[in-house]
Amino acid sequence: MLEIKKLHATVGGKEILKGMNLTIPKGEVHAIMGPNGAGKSTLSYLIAGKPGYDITKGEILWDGQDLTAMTPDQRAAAGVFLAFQYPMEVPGVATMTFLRTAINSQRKARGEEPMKTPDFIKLINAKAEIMGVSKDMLRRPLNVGFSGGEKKRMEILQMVLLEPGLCLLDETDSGLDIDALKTVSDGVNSLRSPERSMLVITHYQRLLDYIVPDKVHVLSDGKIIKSGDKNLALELEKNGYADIVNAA
Amino acid sequence: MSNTGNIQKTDAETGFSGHFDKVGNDLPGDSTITQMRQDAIAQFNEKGLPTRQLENWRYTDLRFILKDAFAPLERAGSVTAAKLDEALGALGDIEASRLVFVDGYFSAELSADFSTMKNVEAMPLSRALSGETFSKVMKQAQPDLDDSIVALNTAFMADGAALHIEGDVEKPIHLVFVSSGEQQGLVTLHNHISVAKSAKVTLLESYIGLGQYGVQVNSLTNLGIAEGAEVNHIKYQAENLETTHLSTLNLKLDDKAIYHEHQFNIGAALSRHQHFVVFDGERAEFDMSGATLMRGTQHCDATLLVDHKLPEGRSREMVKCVLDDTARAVVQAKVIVRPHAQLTDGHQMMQSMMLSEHCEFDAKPELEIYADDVICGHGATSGQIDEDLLFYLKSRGLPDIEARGLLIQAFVGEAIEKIENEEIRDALTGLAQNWLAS
Repeated sequence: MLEIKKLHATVGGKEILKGMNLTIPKGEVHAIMGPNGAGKSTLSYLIAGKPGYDITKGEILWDGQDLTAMTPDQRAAAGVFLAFQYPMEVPGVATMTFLRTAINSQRKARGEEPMKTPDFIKLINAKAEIMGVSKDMLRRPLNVGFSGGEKKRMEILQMVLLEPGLCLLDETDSGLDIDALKTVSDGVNSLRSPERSMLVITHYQRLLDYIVPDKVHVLSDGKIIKSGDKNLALELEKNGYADIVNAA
Repeated sequence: MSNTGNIQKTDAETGFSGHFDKVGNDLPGDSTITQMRQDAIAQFNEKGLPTRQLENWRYTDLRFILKDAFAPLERAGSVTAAKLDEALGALGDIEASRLVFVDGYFSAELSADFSTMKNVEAMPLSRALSGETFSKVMKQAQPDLDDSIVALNTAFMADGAALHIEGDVEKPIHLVFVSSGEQQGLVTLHNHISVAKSAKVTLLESYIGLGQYGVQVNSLTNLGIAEGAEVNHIKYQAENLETTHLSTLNLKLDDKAIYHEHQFNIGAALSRHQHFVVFDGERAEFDMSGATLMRGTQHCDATLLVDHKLPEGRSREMVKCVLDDTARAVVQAKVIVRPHAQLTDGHQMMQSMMLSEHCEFDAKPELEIYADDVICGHGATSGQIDEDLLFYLKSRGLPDIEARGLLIQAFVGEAIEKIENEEIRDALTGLAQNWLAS
């Protein structure tokens, strides 16, 4: 279970989150929507541990563990995965080398044996095909020269391979055409399980047609100002944020 | 113009002269070689060690740095095959024909049997020097370079590899120069390599330092590549941290000769890799890329002089340096394009990744162009590890040191990714990735 309690956070000295509360039990998918600048991406970076994002008050607990006391790699080994809004291009790092290093680093942190090469190849081939990641993409340096859609598919491939307990999806739908949106959503949905919590950050309701959330929250000016079921997203799509923000 | 400005000789300068007086007559070779040695030490005595006043030694003040002249090592220390394999690490697993020298002395025991090998004639230089024909070849190949390190090499050269490549050689030839580190001393190596028309060979040249004592290595390679021949040369320098490694490559390229070099430098307190490259034929190609990883107080200098004498030559120099602590890397490349060398295509790139605030990178590209129809360019950059990339890798579970290691490997990767031999390429990629954690 993810528990965010009275979270205040600053970026570059400016307060972005102002006492935010959020609980995502295992087995649930929650969506966070909100206008630009509400603090949605900041929230995902705070959970993943990006340097430069400072918590001034409050807590982030995952399965009862204080994530804020952990380094980003320790958080990853504990099951946190952030699918980036803008996945980084890493020239010179072969995609396969990266994937294998990531899998084995997490296994090592959990005291498990490294994955054997034939098992790794078999796993990659199977999952890559499902995610529409071509052999050619796997041969190239990580994300280098990939289209926006290819980068997002690569993000979700990593998520499927690493099988995290907490999936954070930061505007995964941005830059995707309908077909890619479907592939990516199928990948995400394949991970839905009673053991897993998911947080989907999006501007648009469209993604939530494919990844149907258990709860929808509206984040504005650093706080959750309204929560509801999936119908809240439909309402927002129809009426915009203005009414809710003004009412808050 | 000769540099005779050194009024008072340093301990190292008088030391080298004194050592030559003692051992000069016992070094191998006939009267031709003996004369070459005497001329060389006379040249050294006149010029002394190079100082910053010489433009190509500007960032490596050898006269100041080199405090002592070590005496030539009198015998080889003990290095077993198992110890050597361990020291070579992943490079020890590469399938290659080895020619091994311990403390500057040929080791038949550790070397492969070259007598039955196809298209290769190989013998230790110490043996080759005793033949009259060879000494004439040596004299002819000897570069007329106004350089004190080359002069010292000629004066003291004791052993090395004498190779003639006649045709295509299937397996790489691995020249291994290992220092036992059992005592300090001078090791002077001289390789003489000729590659016949249309031949093709991969040379792997490794310098490994064991033990605690530092040595002064002075290594010179005379390499002549005949028409249409191709040499892929990988040089791996991992001397111990007490060692001074001075090396010179004197390279001549005939028509359409191809030379590709990949350097990987992680060892020695001080290392200098100087190249003198002459395009003696048309449409030849020189492509050198280097990965230099230095930390502590290490100092590594790559200085190249590339002389395009004839048309349509192509030259590339790319050196990537990763520097930590107070380490320093120097890259200087001077490319001369003579009036006849039309349609020359030359490019240089020097880049550093600086891991600390106190390291230093000196990059000096130079072009001297006398032809009017050429493409020549150069560039230099300095940067740091990209923090956003680092976070991206860490967010996937890579611990800090592994994430940094991967980004370091990615940075120098461009310098090794073109190595044709996959085993060597993978071995060096692994070494780059693990350098920070090692």
